[in-house]
Amino acid sequence: MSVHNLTNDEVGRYGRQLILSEFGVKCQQQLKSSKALIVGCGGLGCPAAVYLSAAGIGTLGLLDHDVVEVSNLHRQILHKESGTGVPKCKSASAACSGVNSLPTYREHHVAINSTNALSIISQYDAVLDCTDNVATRYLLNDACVILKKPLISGAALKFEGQLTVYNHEGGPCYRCLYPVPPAANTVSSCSESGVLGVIPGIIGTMQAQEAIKVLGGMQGSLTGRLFLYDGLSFTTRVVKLRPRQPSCVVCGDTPSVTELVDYLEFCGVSSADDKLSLNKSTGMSRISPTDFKNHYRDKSKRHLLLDVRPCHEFDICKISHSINIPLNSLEKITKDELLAKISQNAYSINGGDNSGITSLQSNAGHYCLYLSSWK
Amino acid sequence: MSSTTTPTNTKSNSSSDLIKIKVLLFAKARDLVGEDSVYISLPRKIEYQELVNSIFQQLSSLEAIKKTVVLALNEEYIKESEPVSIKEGDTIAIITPISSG
Repeated sequence: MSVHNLTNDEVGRYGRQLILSEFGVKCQQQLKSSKALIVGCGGLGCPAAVYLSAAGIGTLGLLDHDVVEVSNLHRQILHKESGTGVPKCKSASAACSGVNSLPTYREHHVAINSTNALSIISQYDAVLDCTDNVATRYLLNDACVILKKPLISGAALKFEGQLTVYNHEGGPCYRCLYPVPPAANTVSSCSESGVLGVIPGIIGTMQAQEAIKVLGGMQGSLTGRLFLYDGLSFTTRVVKLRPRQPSCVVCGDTPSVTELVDYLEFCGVSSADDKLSLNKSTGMSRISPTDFKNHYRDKSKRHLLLDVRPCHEFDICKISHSINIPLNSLEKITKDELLAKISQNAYSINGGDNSGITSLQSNAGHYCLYLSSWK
Repeated sequence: MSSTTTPTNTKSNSSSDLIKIKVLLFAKARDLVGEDSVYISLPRKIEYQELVNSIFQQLSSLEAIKKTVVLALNEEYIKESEPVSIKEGDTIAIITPISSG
């Protein structure tokens, strides 16, 4: 006689993991009765979602405010070319349903914030942080501590990945490790720094693994340890983390953060997508592509276009007659050296006057070359 | 038995006794230094705060991320509450959080 609630179809489908003694019927049933929320249906969220779905999660919440773009497809593997413009949560849900129709899928086409986080997260047993910005990471951490939910946190950038489980089995939370948020100008995003598609694929897959262990009640979760992956040199490390901090403002013995706060303000930044708006507060002037195009075509207005991107980005595309001095070179160069380099560009200085450079300033990681009166 | 002896037994805890230690750099720390590892000089025994100050003094390009790193010695976090003992062959990791995905 059967003593479990798995159907014959489920036994057939999950047979290869049911015969694992460490997993078995008990974990499969626990997984079936569990609800997991994936926040961010991008490079990390896609593999995490499909493996949780395939493994037989009971309910899978898919949260993302964004829609699919072509530039997502090299790493966000559940989305399709034909699905550009479709909300990512719907695209991911459809793909997962195609793999396994048994779980319940909930689509949350919203941006998670301090107002809605608690009501959404309270519907789930665990959260997978598959987001792309610091503010949301602190938000999810605090919400999970307040609601006593484990947080399976993954991150990927360039060739590197990081993975850990917070707020589980007495382990530390994100704030125990990083009580102070990083300065805005030290945070890099995939759109700025790049990412090899398989890196979030590897980390997101491992997030699903850890979620299965946490929700299935298995031993050996990554709580209290941080997995570091470097795909370029193929180096892996697991670092033992400091334990939960009694002084932690959110999970400590006498927490001062007992409700969600304004995380954009706390981190001093907005989400990765809005980062360009920083320039407004730094007083730097910006020029729109249209204005620049008009300026560029107006022969009476001489100008120099200095492209400070790295050489390999300049190689991808450039505006004709621009000159490339990468930012890290520009930081070390003297004004005279800079002028000498510019004067090598005949087009730029044709009839020009080098005294037009008035200052070279840096602020919050953005460099501006102030040019005036290139007559 | 190895005939190699380490000087730790005879010259222990001498603050002038500096040793070269490999520092592994991750994420933003790697970007800022431009290498994935570097060597710095440290005494065999040092208070936690002095260790932090010494690391960021020798790797001054990391100043901007000083408050947001996890420091690990031989793949284990460094306790703030007790003096840190360092020996030849040890590695210190400077880990900065990645937030994108």
